[in-house]
Amino acid sequence: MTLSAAELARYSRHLALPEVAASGQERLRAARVLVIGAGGLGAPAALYLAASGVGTLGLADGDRVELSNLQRQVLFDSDDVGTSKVVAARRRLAALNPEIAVLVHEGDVTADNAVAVVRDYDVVIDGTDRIGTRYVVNDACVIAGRPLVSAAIHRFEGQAMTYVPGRGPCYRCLFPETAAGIVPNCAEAGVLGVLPGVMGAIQATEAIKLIVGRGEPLIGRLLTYDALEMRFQEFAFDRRKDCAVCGPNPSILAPVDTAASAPLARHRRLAPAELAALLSAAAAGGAPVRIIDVREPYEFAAGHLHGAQSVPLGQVERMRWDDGATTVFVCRSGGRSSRACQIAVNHGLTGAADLEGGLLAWAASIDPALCVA
Amino acid sequence: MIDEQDGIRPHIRLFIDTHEVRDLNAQVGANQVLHLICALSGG
Repeated sequence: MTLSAAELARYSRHLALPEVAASGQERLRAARVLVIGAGGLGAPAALYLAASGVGTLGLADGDRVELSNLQRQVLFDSDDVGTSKVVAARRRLAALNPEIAVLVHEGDVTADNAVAVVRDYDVVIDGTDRIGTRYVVNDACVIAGRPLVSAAIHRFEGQAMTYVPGRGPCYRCLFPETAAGIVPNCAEAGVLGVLPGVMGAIQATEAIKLIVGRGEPLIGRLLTYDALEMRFQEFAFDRRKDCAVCGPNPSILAPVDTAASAPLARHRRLAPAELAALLSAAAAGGAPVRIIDVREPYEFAAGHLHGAQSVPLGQVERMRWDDGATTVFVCRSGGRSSRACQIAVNHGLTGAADLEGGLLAWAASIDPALCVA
Repeated sequence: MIDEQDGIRPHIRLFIDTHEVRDLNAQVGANQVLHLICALSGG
């Protein structure tokens, strides 16, 4: 089907490029691209893909917009805080380009649903903020035979690579496996707001190149970006003969959440209501409860539980252990507190527990007035 | 970085200049650079 007059006007700068032209623009219109994670990476990627005329854009995310997202997630406005990310994103993308369809998958992409979700798309963009999900998305793309453009960010650094079935290595060929807690996410480590803009735009570029069939994708090439040094570098890597998912004898036949299945030291996890009950009992003269907030000082300053003691995760190893009270570690979403608990258990603190879902879960179910940075 | 079996941990890759090395006995030449690249998870 030929382009309409409105499309000819909207995409005129693409049409002026011989490498894209009308045939490439028609391919973009016919294409279906899935963006997993409407965060720092997904926001610029989705904006550019929508503006470029990708006909069907899928967005998968289960989170709501938070004030702390707005420093880098340029899809959202201040008025969107508290709104479902994919709903707010669909509104913004529809306003940007009403010629395209935006499909939303409100919820997390998991080992159970990943293959079915990615199978409906031609290209997948991974912009998740959780290491386990990166493996799930990679495995699903390998199993479903879908190209994947993966990127990740940390403080001032970014990485990007592209997997195309049958043409090169996958993410597991590069990093065979990992575990939650080894690799920090943005909430834990911080990130320069503009950094995901650079890397998300690279992901959109890769997707457009794959669809149009022009240029050299980042196949077997890890692109790294150092914003402080303002330096891009490229590293070559090959397929692994022993890759668990794309190798000739795969042991992974369905997506695996490596981080979720990694063995963790045993410790007790408290739901917000359980912690609230423990604190009430302690206030009434029951067993004492010691709350250790393992977030960074600036997060603690923004808001914390009454009576909580600030011990950033990096200092937990050196803290004074006290078995006289139930020690409950808390953090923003439960990742750092879980690691702190493992450290405590390793020090023999048998009564250690942590708050499942972190202070975000506490604010959602117990105290909405708590400011969680 | 190195596990109990003297292997490179699977979330870290080593590159000499721009090429991956999987052998810890690989030699780094006088004018070569060893890069340690760790998996990132932020998005």
